[in-house]
Amino acid sequence: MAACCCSSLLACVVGAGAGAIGTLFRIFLEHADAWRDALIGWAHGAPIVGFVLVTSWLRGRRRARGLAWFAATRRKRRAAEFRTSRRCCARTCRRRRSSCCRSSSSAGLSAIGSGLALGREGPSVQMGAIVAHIAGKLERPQMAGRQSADRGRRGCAASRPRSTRPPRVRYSCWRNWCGGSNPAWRSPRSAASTVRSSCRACCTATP
Amino acid sequence: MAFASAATIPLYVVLGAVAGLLAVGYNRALLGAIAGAAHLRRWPLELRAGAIGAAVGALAWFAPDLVGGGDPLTQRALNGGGTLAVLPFILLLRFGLGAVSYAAGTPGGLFAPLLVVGAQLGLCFGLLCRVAFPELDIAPQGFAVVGMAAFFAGVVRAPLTGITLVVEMTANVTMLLPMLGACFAAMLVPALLRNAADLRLPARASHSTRRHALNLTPRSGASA
Repeated sequence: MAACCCSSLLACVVGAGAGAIGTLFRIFLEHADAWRDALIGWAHGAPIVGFVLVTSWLRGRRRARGLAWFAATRRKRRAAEFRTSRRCCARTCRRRRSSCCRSSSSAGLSAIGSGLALGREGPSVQMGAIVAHIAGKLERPQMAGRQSADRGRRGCAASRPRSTRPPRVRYSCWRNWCGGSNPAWRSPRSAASTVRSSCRACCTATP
Repeated sequence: MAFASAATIPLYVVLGAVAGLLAVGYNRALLGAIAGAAHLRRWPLELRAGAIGAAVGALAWFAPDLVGGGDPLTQRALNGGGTLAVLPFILLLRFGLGAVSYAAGTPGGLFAPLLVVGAQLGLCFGLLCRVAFPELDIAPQGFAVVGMAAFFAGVVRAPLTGITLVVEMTANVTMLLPMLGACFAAMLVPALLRNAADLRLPARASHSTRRHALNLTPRSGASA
């Protein structure tokens, strides 16, 4: 009973943390989009200076995207890539998870904000998984691998509604993708309850 | 948004079939782009990223609304904004841009671009149907909503997730029945064409491609 209460409480904490980080990510992305649009609009208004500026801006964009690419493929390969499986970095990236989170958010911000046709749900999911795993490790440093993975999935699910705002999607989505080898998702009563509480906290913690 | 009339339901199923066909093409385009990026492995990372950045930057110079995640495009499609002269162009552009962006290997999700392409496809199909069947009183916005769910189901092979996602993002439950029919057709067409789900395709790709692709497979019973 106590373990169940503790797990539910921790799920709420994870949900709130994932929601806060997801909201910050969303706000930064909106600002990045606004800056991009403003710069393009200004450059069109001043053709000669704008041409020079946009030329250098394109180089800057290349550098930004190169940085994102570099972060994704070299520095934090498991953490920074957008591929869905990389949310499992919370399980596989054993050290410096906070730097994984920073890398995921900054690389996602520079890549998506620079205009690539990518969604913000990928980095959000990664960051949620990392938050969940950090919280799980703080609560129980010797947590078993399966419990750790479950907690990471809850974080993934909790961060998802922050990115696309459909809270009920979380369960079917992550059951589809994560349920292959985990018995907890085949009889999902307990997992569903913790995911639900986590997502509720995620959606109510931030505007 | 009003409930779809019985006479328009077959049109939604046809839209699902078209979305399924386009989903097959999208899956192949994704894999092709990933394989193409893998073939350029000899190039420096910065050069590859710079090439994609230059292409997207050039597009942003000429059409700033078309780059990025595409939320404004989806919103415009759901409001019924767009003409038959422009929508196919946007659809093709976002189709190619999504595949190229995915192959770039930078952080970002796949779902939002899918929904943009699906919305453009649905709206384009709805406008065509309104021209072809003026007596049916067709609302193209409904086709945009259904197109999003159908295209998502065709690419990801997760129809329940697609329907739930679209219903919650649009706060619209009146199109559930057309969505079910369209998602059925969108799942059926790739299955008939023996096109594996996007999440599974990389398992059949080359080793270098596989390293860059999704390595999570859906549950055994989750896909067709």
